[in-house]
Amino acid sequence: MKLFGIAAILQVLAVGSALQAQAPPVRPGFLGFGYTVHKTKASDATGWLYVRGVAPGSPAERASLKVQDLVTSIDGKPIAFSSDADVLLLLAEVRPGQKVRLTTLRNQQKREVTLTAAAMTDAIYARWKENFELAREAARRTVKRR
Amino acid sequence: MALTVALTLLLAVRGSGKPVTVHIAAAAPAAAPGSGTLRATPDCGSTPCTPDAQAQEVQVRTGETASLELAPGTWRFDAVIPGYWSAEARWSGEEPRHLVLPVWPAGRIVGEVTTEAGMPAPSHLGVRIESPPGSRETARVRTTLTCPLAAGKFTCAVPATALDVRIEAPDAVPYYFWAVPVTPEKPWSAGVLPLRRGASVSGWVTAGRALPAEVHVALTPVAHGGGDETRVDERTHTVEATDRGFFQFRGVPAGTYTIVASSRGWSPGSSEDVTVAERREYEHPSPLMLEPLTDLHVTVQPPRNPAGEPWTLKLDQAIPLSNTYRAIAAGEVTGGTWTHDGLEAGPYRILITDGRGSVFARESITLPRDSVFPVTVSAVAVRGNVTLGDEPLEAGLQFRDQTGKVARFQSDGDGEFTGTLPNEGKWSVRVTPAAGEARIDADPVEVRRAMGEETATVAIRLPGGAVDGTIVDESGRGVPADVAAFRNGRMVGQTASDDSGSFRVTGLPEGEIRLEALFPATDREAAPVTARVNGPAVRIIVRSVRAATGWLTDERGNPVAGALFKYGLADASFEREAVSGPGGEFELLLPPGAIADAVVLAPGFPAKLLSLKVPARAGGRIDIVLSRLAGSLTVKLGNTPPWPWLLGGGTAAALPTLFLPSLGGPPPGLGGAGFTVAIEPGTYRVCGGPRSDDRCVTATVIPGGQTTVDARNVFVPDPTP
Repeated sequence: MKLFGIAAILQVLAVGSALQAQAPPVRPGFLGFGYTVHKTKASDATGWLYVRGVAPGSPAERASLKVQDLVTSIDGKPIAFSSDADVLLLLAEVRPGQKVRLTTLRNQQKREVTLTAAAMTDAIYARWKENFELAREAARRTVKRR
Repeated sequence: MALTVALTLLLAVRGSGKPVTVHIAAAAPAAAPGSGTLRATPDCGSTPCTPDAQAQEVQVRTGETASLELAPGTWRFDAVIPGYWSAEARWSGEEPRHLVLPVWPAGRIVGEVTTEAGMPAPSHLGVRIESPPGSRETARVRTTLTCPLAAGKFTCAVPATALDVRIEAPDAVPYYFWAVPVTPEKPWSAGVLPLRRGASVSGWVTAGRALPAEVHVALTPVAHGGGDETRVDERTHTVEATDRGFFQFRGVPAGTYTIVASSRGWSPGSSEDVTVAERREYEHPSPLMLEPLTDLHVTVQPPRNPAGEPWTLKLDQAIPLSNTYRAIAAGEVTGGTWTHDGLEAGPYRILITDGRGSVFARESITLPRDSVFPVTVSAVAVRGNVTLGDEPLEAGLQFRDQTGKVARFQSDGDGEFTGTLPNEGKWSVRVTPAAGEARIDADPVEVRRAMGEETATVAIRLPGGAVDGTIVDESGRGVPADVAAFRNGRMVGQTASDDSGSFRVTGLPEGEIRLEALFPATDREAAPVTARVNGPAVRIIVRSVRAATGWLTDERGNPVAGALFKYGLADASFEREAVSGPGGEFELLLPPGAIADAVVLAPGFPAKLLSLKVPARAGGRIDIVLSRLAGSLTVKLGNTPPWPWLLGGGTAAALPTLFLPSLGGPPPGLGGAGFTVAIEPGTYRVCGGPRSDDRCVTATVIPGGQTTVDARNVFVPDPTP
């Protein structure tokens, strides 16, 4: 599972110093879905997550999350992050056993699903850290360019 | 008196075994002793009581002891004595068989409630009473009473003593009163209590000894419950704890919170999992503990780093509920010891570094448990060389292991380097050549000393492949930008173009890579290009782009959310993606006036291929209507690439463009019997390339129909060996 698929990593290229300052993260809980973050200028700060993949047997699959679902809020909170890094950091704080409530939209049907984070295996955690490092590196480069 | 008790005993003999004695104890002095009834009631829980477990009543007087023979099981006792208020006692049927039932002179709490608009008047109040701490009475009260409410007024029978009182109505925020004086002569009045619907949070703060004078308690939302009556409230609420350490937050939106109690000169006490339900009070189950500040003493062995200099110690404090740390202190470790006074309790991180910034130890500690903390730094001498292809490479090297230890080296013109690593094991290595802007991630190296050797030897072999290129704008001027090289979704190299736009990515293995020029602002974009390592130079064209917006709807005008757009300029294939939002809105980054190819993959709709004309003027919109009419198209394929193209709707899409995103692995259908897609009806051509003059087969898709074409022969054999 890629918690942050490569497309998601590319989405966080514009992250700022917040992510850059992060220490290597502690092992988060495993939710089992990959996503990209989207918003438009018209939607201002409010955006949405687009589910790009659901890992077999994962909490996301058990909660019937599906590819192409749109996630419009996390724990009742709109996807209104000032930067993509905020989403990255928010989900990095999910711990095994923690419940995460998502509001999803599919075919104009709104649905509430609750995912109970599982433990992240060593292999998945290694990949997750790699992605986190990539995002941090991208943030560092971007800040340098500014 | 003795006669009375004897009679009681005779009347009460029902069961067998030793009797149970109950002493009626006056917990506070009263004007006169009282007499009344002691009631014993079987408490059988959810199971039916046995026939011999019958409720009993005996006459009693205050200060005297009654004796009863009771059937086995659990029993509750209370007393009805005029002028007195009785607590309740329980006996579980086991030893000891002697109980004390405290009674107090009777008193009353009175008051009045009002309700807010639209709130029904409650029929009763829940009144919890408790003896204040330090009460000198012989028994303590702690019970919850149900007090009827009539015409907004209530009267509640309570013991006549000093009481802490909590008054609660259903769905409303409770009220607290402390050490209220209730006397037999005069009821205590709570006054008029306006009832407000809502949730609240209450709890206690303690410091183990006397509480500091000022204790602030902060309630910070982590996630919101999202109930109908609550609105997202990002603020942190702060209240002052009372002298006794009590705090209450009134009118709290449902959700999950953290509570932090703090006071100057003390380590804060916190709780991270506070879940507040609508119209309920969350009473924190345990006090938040303020702890004294701690001194930290760190000893480092050996006291000097391999260069013979003192170590540098960096102390970071973990920020609660995050992965981040804040720097607390940094300094030289003199004589192998380092101290810091007045630190808050909680988790910290210690980094031991040398003069180059290499991290030799990274330790997590928790204060005050680890207030004396020894660090033993190990070191492994390393000697190595770096080559790029067959050439030695002068470069900066950064070794990093899984635990976050970092070591830095510098190789010379012969590619040689020496230094010290914290330990043997597997290390990731990032190479920054002295010349140019490239950064190369080498394959991880295993560092081990050979038997009998004190120094480990490391060889870093970077593939000699390179890709040269230029980044230019539409007028051909060079553009400086960061460039990243990817293979199979992994970044394999980075560099930056100079002012003339030239760049070189080095250290690449043979094969194809994908190059992306990165711009922090969104008004410039360059389509990623595919390059062959050691192949011809590539040219990345930067274009000015603008956000073209539009709406995606079905034929009835309903918005279509969650549709994946794959789009791009015809000369760059499909390289960008967008997703329509909850209202069907979407935004495409394209040069003004350009014609773009697009594929729309919406849940519940067939795939749509279309050619988009981007409005030349700002504010122009692209509106797209999706039809649910669908046919099935199956394309029979070979087992390996290349994959064919699908031409239709005025556009050309490489067949993999029609796949939905996945988390990895081969796309469904590729390399098997064929790839099937639900697609808008129409005439399509399946071709060996993106042009209509490539070798093609025609496929006509009709609504509800199933069309199969064989694309295994659309590829012209490659004439090159």
